[in-house]
Amino acid sequence: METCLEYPKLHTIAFSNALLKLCHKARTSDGDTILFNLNKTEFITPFGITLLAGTISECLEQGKKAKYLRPEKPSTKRFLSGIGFNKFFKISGDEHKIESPNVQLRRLYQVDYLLTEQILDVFSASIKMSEGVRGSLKLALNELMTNALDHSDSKKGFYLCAQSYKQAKTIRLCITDFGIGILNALQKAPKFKKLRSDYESIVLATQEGVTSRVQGTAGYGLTHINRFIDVNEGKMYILSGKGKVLWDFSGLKKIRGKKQTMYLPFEGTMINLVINADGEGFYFLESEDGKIF
Amino acid sequence: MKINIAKTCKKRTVTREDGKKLNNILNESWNKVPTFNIDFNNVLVASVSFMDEAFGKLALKHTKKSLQNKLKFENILDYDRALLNDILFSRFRQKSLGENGASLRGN
Repeated sequence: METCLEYPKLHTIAFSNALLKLCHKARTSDGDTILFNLNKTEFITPFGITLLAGTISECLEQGKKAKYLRPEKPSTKRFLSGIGFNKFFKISGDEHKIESPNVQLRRLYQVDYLLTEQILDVFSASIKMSEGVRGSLKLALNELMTNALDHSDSKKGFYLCAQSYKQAKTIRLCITDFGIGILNALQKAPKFKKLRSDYESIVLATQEGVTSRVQGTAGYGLTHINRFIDVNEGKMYILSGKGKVLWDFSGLKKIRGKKQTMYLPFEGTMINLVINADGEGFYFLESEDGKIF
Repeated sequence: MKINIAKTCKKRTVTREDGKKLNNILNESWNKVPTFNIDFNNVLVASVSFMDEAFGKLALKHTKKSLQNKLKFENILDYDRALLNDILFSRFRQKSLGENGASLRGN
C-alpha cells in the first residue's frame, strides 16, 4: 500500500505545522511505500530540507520504501540537486552536481572538525561576511553540532544544512536531530525533573548555566548563540516537542521568546538561525572591571 | 611552559572533551611552572564548549589575579580573546553567586 504525501509550495518554518503533519504521517503510516510528492514545491529552506531528509531516512529505517517526485519548478529541482539532496538519497537520473554557494546537506554522527571551515570557505566565496559574523557563525556551528550529539540521546545522528542568500545578504542554518527533545533532555537533571512544558524547557535551554548535564557545569552554548543573534539583528527558532519559540531581533520591536504550540509534537529538536552576513557579530559583554586577558 | 594549541589539540578544538584534554595539562602543571604560554597560532577556535572546559573552569578554582599571572595567550585572534574574557566573566560571576559546579547545581 502506498501513502502519498502532497508537499506544499513553501517549505519554511512559517509552515512548520503543515510540514510536521506530513512528517508525522510518513513516520506513522502503515503503508509499505511512502510517496513524497514535491511537484508543487517552489521554495525550500534548510529547515524544510533537514526535516524532509530526516523524515525520509526515518521511513527507510522503518523498512518502508520511499519514492520521491521532484519539484516541477526547474530552479527548485536544480537547487535540491545542487545541495546534494538527490545524491543523499541515491536518486538516479540527472547529473547531480553539488554546487556552490550552498552547503551540501549532511547527516553527521560525530563532530566533523573540518566541516565548519568548509562551510565558512563556501560562504566567504559567495557572500561578504564581517569578521565577527565569521567567528560567531563558526561558534554557532560548533555549539549546535556538539549540542545535537550530547543531548539528543540518539544514535541516529543529526542533519545539517546551511544556505547563503546573496541578495538578502543572509545565511540560514538549520540543525535537526530526531532524538529525545529538549524537555526530556532537561528532565534528566534532578533540578528540572518536574518540568512539563516544551515551551518552558526551550526558553530555559537558552539561559546561562542551564544544562541537562548532571554535573551542571555547562549550558553556555545556546546563550552565546542567542546573544549573537540579538546583536546581529537576526532570528532564531527552536522547535522541540509541541513547542516552537521564536527570537526575532530584526525589527524595531525585538521579540524575545514568542511562543507557538504545535498541533503535533516533533520528536527531536530543530534549531534554525537566520543571520545577517554583513551585520554585527561581536556580541561579547564588557565587564566593569575591564578585560582579564 | 609552552603550549601550542595546534600541536597539542590538532584540529580538535570544538567539544568539551577536547577542552578537557588541555585543562588536564594545565591542572597537572599548575603548581610546577611559573607561567603557561598558550599559542593559538592565529587560528580561530570559536567554541564556547572548548574554551569553557579548557580555561573557563579554571576560574572556579583560581582568582582573576592568579589566572592573569599564570596564563599568557599568544597569537590569539580578537574574536577568541573576547570569547575567552566573556566566558571567564561568566565563570567568576557564577563563583561569586556560589554556583560552583556539581556540588551546588547538580545532584
